[in-house]
Amino acid sequence: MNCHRAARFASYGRDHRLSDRKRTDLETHLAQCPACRQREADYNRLVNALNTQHLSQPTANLLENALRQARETAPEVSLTPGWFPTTLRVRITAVSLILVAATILLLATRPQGARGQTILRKMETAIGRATTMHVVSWRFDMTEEEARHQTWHDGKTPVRGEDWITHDAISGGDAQLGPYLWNAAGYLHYDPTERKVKYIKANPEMNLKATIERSFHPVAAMKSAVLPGTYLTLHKAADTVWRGRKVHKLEISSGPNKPRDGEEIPTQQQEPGKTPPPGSMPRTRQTFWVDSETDLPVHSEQEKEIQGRWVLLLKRDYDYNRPAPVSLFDPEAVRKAAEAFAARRR
Amino acid sequence: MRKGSGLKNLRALRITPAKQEATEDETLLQRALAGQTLALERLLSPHQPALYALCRNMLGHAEDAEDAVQETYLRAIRALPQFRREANVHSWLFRIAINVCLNGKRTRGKTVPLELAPDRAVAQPSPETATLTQIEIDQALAVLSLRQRTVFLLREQQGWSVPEIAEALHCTHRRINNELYQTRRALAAWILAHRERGEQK
Repeated sequence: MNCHRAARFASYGRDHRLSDRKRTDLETHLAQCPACRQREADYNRLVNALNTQHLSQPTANLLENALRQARETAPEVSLTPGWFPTTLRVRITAVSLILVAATILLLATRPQGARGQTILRKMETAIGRATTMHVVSWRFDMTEEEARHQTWHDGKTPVRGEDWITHDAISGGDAQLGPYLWNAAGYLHYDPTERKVKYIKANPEMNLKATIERSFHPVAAMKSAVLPGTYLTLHKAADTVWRGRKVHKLEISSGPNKPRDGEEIPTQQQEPGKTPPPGSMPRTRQTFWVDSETDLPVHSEQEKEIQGRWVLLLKRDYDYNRPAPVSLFDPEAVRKAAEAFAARRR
Repeated sequence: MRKGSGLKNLRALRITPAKQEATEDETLLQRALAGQTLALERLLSPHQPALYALCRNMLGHAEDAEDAVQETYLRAIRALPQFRREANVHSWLFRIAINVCLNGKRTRGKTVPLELAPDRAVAQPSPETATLTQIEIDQALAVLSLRQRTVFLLREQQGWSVPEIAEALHCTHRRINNELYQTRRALAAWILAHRERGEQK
C-alpha cells in the first residue's frame, strides 16, 4: 500500500466505510510509515482542537432579536396570547375555501356560449385561410357489409382507418371504381376494364373550403344532421392541453332542449318551438379541440347516445398546410394502387 | 434550559435518550404553537451555542455568525407551523443554519478572508488545545471552500453521518464521501506546511 492509498483508506475509516481486511492493511502501513502516522496524528489533533474550542458567545440575545423581528415584519401575528393563533388560521382557511367554492360554482353555471362562439368564428376564419387539410379518421359504427366494400378496409374488422389529404384534390375510393383522386372539377380514377386512368368531371363548385364544409368540418357535420324541432347547443369552452398543445375544448350537442343565451348555433333545419316526438331521434354530440394559437381544429370525436350511454362513432385528427404527396396526383400511381387493390380483393 | 458551551449541549443532547428528548420537544412545540413565547424560547434557545459554533466556523467571522444565527431563528419561527415531526428540532435548526450560511455567503460574496478576519474569538485555550489555537483552527478552515467547511464541520464537529449530511445538502452519499476525502487531504497539506513553517522558525 502506498501513502496516497493509505490517506484514502484512513478517510474512509473515519466514516466507517472500511472493511476489516483494508483496515488491517492500513494499520500495517501506518506501523511502517512515520509520515502517514504523523499526518493522521496531526489531523486528530485538529479535530480534537475543533471539538474543544472555546468560542466567546454572542452578547446579544439572538433569539429575542429574532422574535422581535418576527413581530415587526408580521404585525398580525401576536405573541401574546398566541403568536400564531389557530383561530385566525382556521378563519383564513374557511374564507379561502368559501371563495374557491363560489368561484367554481360561478364558472360552472356561467353560460360558456359567448366565449365559445368567438372561438368558432375565429376557427371559421382560420379554416378559410388553410391551404391544405390532412384528415385521418376512424369510424367505429360500420357494419361488416359496409366495411367490406370500403377501399382500404382490411376485410376483417368493422373499424376502418382513412387517410385523407384535402388539397385541391382528395384521395378516396369507392366500391366500383377503386382509388380515385378528387379535385375541384372532377376526379381521376382507374378503370380496370379498359386498364386506363380516366378523368371524370365532378361538381365544378368543389374547392377546399367546400370540401371541408361538406365532409370534415366538425360543426358543419352537426349542422347537417340536425332534425326539425331540435337545437344545436354549444356547451363548453374549456382551455386544456391536447397532445402537448394548448387548445380550447368545445362540445356541441343536438337535442330538443332550448339552449341558453349565447349557446345556440343557428341551423337552417331548425324550427324552434316544434317539439319532436319523444324518442324519435338519438342524441348526438361532437367534441372538438381547437388549437389556441392557430385557431384550427386539431381533433374531433363524434358520439351518439345509445340506451343511455354515449358511444364513440367517429374520431378525426386534423393537420394543415402540409404539402400533399406528389404521387397523389400521378395517374400512374393511381393505376398501380388500383391494381394492387384489385389484386387484394381477388 | 440547558446551559454551557455548544459541546456540552451537544453531549447533553446525546446523553439524553432520544425518545425523551423528542417528547420534550414535542410538548414545547405544541405549547409554542399555542402561543406560549416561553415554550418557544425553551425549544430554540438551547441550540444557540452549537448553532453559533457552526456558523462561526463556517463564516469565520463573529458578527456574520451572529447575524446567521439570528436569521436562522427568524426563519425557524416563521416556519414553525410547517415543522415536520420526522426531523428533530436540533437537526432542523442546523439545516436552516446551513442554508443561511451558504446562501448568505453566496449573496455577500467573499468579504473578509478567514485568516484576515479581525475578531479572533479566542478565550482561554484548554491544555489539550494548547498546541492548536483558535487562530490556527481558523487558518486551517480558511484553506477550505465554504462547501468543504460545511461538510467537514458537520462530520467532524457535529458528528453527523454521511447520509445525514447528504440529505441536508441535497446530494449523494458518494459526493459527500469524496468531498470529505478531498477536505481531509487539503487539511493534511495545510498541517504539514504549517508544521514545516514552525520548524523553520
